[in-house]
Amino acid sequence: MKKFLILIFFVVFEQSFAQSNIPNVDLISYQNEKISISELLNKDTFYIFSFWATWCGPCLKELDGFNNLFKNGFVTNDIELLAISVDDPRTAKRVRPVVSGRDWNFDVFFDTNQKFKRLLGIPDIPATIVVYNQKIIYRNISYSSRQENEILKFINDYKNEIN
Amino acid sequence: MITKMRLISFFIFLLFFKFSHSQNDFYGSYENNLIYYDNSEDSKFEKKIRSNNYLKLNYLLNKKWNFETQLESYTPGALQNFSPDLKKTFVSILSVNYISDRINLTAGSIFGQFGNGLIFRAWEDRKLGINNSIFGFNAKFDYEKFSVNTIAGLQKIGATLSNGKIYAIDINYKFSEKFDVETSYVGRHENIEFTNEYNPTNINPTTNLVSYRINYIDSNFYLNSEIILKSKDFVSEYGFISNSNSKKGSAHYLNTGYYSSGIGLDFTFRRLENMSIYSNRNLYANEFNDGILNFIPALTKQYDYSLANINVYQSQPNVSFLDPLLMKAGEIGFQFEFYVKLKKNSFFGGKTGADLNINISNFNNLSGDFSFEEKSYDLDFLNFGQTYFSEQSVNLTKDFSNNFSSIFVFINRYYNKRLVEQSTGKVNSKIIVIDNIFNINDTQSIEFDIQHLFNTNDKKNWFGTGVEYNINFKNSIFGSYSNNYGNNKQKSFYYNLGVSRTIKNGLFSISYGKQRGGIACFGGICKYYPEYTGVSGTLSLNF
Repeated sequence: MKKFLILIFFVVFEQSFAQSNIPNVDLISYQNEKISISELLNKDTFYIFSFWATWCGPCLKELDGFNNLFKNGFVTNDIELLAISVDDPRTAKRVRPVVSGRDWNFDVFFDTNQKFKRLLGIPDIPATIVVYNQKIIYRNISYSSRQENEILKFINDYKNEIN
Repeated sequence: MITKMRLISFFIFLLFFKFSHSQNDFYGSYENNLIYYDNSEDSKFEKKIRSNNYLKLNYLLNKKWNFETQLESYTPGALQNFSPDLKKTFVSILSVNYISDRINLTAGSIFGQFGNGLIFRAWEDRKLGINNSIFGFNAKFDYEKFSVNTIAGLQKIGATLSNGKIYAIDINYKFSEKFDVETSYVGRHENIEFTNEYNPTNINPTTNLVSYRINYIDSNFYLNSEIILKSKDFVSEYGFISNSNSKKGSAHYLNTGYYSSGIGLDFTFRRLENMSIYSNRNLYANEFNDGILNFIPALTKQYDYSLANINVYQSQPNVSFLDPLLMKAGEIGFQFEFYVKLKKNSFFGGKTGADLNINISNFNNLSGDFSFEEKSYDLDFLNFGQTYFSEQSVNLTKDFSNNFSSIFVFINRYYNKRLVEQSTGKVNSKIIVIDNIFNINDTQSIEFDIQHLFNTNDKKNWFGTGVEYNINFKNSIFGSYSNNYGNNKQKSFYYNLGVSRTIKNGLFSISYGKQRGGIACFGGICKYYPEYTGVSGTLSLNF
């Protein structure tokens, strides 16, 4: 146990402040097409990856919140939301009815068998990461009301920092 | 030997990371779940600390190569009701993956699924202690409209590998953007050792499963159908197999739905007959889900609320002859869901609008003539037998203002505990939940829910409540309480109080409470958890 803890400290704290590159995996689009992460991402655009599932109440609240912000024009054109459904085969069939039923207007992808989530080491949902120029610049697990505003604030602060 | 080799590989991997020039292509995570059991229904755990630890590392090289490894540690022991095979420290994932435009090759731990997972799924779920990856080789090829996926290897069971060898292939042909057909084969080869005097000479050690699927999707409609046929396989009872009890299996699945702006409908039908398959036959229907090769979740709706998770349904894919009045060969049933956005300023939506969801589900035993003495049955294909579970529920999400919103849930549920859990009783319950969020200001909010379960039988009435105060986006305090006040035989109450904090690249939470025991399900897969009182903590970090 002791050796194991030393190992964790050795690895975790040595690396914890590095900005990781986003792994390149295949996702399934809403139109049922296979698409890789590298094909999805453009330079100089901020991508908010929101990991969610149809059965996850806080995830629905977060995406409802983002939907309102995007719909009401509170988000600049260089920010895109990609909602990554980690629903397993039991609930993946409900994704399209939920997305339509809640009238969401952003891109939704399927992380079939949760490979993307597993590679990113996301233990649970809701989880949000922000990617800029292929690098992960923000991570958050869990959701509290209006957290979507905080994420947009982080992106705007980051923009000011790099400009 | 394999365990030691994997451990050595893990450390080589670690050193490689340490001296790697490109730290940006190295990433990983650490998760710790720790509980101090002050009191427990399972006396082995009383006054004991238990923890599950996962350290995961990945390295990307030239966007083509992906090296992945995971170290798991269960010291001083695994949490309650995790498999006894999960002990000490071992390397649970070790793989090298090469990706190009058309080819994807993996050697080592393989995760994946074919179709809906009914024929094959290898995945990880830490809450359930599942990591049923195949340790072997995987090759995927894409060529024009064809894609082929092949897997061969042994399945991971705890720190060891299965006796049964697994071979699998999945072929997909895309006729158009909207329509494709798929077929899969999964074979499990395990030499059979009988526990009785019957002659096994004419028995094939390989069990074969074949799946045929069609998928159609357009901008408003989808349809997905699957038929699986499983060759004769032994039904294990009490961990033993006997050639006097071998059966064929099958699965029939149909999912269809309609969706357009503001509305969504989904309908699923499923019939299962002796459909579970394990890499080792003697693991048939084991309580830890060790050695499962396919994914057969309950298709009922999943809820976040504690009282809605009392008497949840678990899928019934297995054959069971426990007594002459309790014979099962599988399940047949359906689930229907309807989602609609009630627009702002409409008659039903009111001033602020609302989201409505209706759910109906029904699952039954297969109907037919069963013989307890001969352990045999003659089944009807589409007739419904005794009801296992039925449910009707309504969920309404409503914003009353910018700062206050509520979710109203009503559930009407029937649960045949005797048939599903092989215990006693039938449960008719009604559950009401009112879940509210109040935004105090831009960063602070309070979430509170009130729940009631009305029940004239089983454990009678329950009351429950939960509160979460988000001090800001990083810190929150939460508490919950539930009381089985209607149970005159054994009144009981449960509580939990804790804090959680989002830290840089991670999350930390700690709580103290008395946790209700019973069957808990994650992603439709369920297992029993004993009741306990104690302190639990979670730490997860990404790097």
